[in-house]
Amino acid sequence: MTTLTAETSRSTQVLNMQQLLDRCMGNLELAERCLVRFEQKLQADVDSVQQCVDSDDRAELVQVAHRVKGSAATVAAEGLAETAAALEAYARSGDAADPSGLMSDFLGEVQRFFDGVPRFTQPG
Amino acid sequence: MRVLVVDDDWITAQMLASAVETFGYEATVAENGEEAFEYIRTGDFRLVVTDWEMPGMSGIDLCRKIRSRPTGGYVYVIVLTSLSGVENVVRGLEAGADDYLTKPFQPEELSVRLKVGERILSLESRDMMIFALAKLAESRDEETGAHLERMREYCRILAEELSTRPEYRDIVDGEYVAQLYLTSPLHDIGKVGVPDRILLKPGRLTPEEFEVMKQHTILGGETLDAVAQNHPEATFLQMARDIALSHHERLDGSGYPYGLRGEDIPLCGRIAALADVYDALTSKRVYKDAFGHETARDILIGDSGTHFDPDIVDAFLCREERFLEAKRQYQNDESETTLAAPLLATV
Repeated sequence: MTTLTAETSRSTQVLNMQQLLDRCMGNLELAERCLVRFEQKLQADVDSVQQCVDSDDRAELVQVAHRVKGSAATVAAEGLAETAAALEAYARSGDAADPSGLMSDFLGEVQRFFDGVPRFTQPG
Repeated sequence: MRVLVVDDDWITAQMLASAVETFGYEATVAENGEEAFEYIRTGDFRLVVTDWEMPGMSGIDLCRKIRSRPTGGYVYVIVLTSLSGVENVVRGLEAGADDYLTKPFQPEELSVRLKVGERILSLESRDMMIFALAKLAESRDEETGAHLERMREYCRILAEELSTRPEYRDIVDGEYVAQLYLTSPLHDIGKVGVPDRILLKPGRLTPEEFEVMKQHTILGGETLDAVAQNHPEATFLQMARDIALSHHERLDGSGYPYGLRGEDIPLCGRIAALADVYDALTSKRVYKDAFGHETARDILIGDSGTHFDPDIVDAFLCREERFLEAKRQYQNDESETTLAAPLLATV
């Protein structure tokens, strides 16, 4: 069975802070609130994605991956948005290939995000 | 201006609301389509930015619901979507969306789209104001009922027919038809300057009274001309002026106020003349019963080339069914009994 991987580059920024600030019209407080909210919700979303992949529930995977992709793109978490988009595309395609590579890429980006985000949300 | 932001994703909703407020609007957030529709029903929101994919009622379902039910005024809907491709855009627009914005949104693009929405809504406000002004002027004469609604429909029908003909194709385009529809209700705006004793006189006017009545064309024309001079970019005002001045002119030069002949009478005035007379003939007045469609048609045909432009009479004959539909749609309550029989017999 073919193993799919997302075509994301490790050089993709964890968070494009400038883009996030632009979208928040320079409102740093709003940017932080949105990031904290996204971070709080992300773990539950990751669990849902994992569950969908394990049970091969493509319809639900489309919904969850689409939601994560949208939120991640909105907070300018580019790598995360790309890997979530790859999972969504896989779920929509009905491809029989093994999604473990995609899942691994996604989890890697999630980890990069969790590792990197405190730098943006903590004072100092 | 108030903007309703609809998104089940809290982050996107907050960012949109923040951007919308930075652009000078007042933002309200709804978390789903159902909640959004309740807000829209209040009539307080005419500009909506909604997510496409939401649990329950999607943004597209919301569009359909808005379009399927009459609300206080037009609601301009911008759909926010990460779905790309022409097919999806077409699907959204078909459902009644006015514009779309790709996710993740760019504030500059959002600002531009909102301004477009505002501009469209202001045009509707302008159109409504023009019609309200015309209705106000007409309100002194309680007999005329839905005359203005019918008149503008008749004008539109005639212009649409003319636009299909090679000799008119370069003059009568979509914009011409839209402007005629917009401005024809102002044809009698000058009647606000005619005294009640003449305007509301139930019997025949004396020659002196008729001279006063004829002044309504000049009064209306001059008033609109003064505005048109100050706003030359607003071409609809020029058409409104031409219609007010010339809708009582006759092709053979026997009309008023100037006795213009043939093509010296602006085309819009020639169209409005037929529409006005047809409606007067088929409507009940204190001094006469409503004529049936057949009788009115015979009169128009008989006056073709003398009172009316033969091309416009011909356009009328080609679109008789549409005239009857418009007439039915805007039937005066008080004349229903009189008109229903001949109409049904004709169709």
